[in-house]
Amino acid sequence: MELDKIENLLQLYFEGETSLEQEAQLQNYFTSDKVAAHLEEYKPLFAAFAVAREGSFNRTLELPEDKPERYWIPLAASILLCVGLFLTFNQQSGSDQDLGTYKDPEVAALKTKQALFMMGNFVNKSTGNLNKLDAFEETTNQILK
Amino acid sequence: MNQKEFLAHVTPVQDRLYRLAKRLLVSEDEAQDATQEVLIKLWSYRKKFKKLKSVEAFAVTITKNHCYDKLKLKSSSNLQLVHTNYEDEHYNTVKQTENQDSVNWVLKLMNDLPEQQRLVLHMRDIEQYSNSEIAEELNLNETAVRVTLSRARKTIREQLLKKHNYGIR
Repeated sequence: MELDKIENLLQLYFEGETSLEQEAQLQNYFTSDKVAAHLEEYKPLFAAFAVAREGSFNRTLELPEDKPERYWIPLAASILLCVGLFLTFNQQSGSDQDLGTYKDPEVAALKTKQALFMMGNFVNKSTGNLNKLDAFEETTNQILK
Repeated sequence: MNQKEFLAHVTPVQDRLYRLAKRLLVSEDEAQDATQEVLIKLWSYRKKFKKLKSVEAFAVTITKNHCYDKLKLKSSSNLQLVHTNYEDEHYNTVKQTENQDSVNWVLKLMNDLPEQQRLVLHMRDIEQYSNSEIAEELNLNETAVRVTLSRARKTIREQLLKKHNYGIR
């Protein structure tokens, strides 16, 4: 290769202006044994690049095993939860409706009457007791007059 | 993606990753360790491979960051990075040894460059990435890559010539 061209390329090289192809030309030239005497000093530079290109990864690679995918676990859990919730609520509403009932309307009316009388008795009893409170009011009225 | 497919992706680039790690970490053993860890990290990211423009670029980024982390860890624990793969310079009468010496000297000079220059020089002159690839990888524009590259090459030339002419001029 012409010496001029190499010198020119070398100059461009140090300015960072060479293309990859041109750098390959330089590399070829300087690793050959026909390097001009005054360019001898650049030989180690390109020799070093060639040396540095040689290192390789030599460990055996042990990749961690894939964990089996357990996407069904959360799925199963949510289904269980839903079923559980459904069952509990269903049971509660069932027991609410079961109040016991009379099939014969006359018996039903009788029983209702009975129940209302019982309530009336209680109310009368308690209002009777409330009459005693009037005494308090009278006395307080006397004092505060 | 199974192991076989993963290895098909990774095997062509693993040597490059190793050399990049070695450029940054200097020690061979550490570079091997780092590469191994990076590959395992990549394995855990394998589901994203399809979305990536380039698996290699992604791998390089991971390697770079991993090495920076390692270096940071080292400097914070006050351990000095020692260059072990460089033998002290001494001129030998045998030409072959002298050449070998100068090569090691250049390699040492490369490792003495500031990190950014070292990375750019490595990616360009050793791994032969294009400037646009380097720019993308390092978040620089192409002009910055060219300038950094030129600076790195000139620094090495200066040091190399200084040594070459030692005792002559």
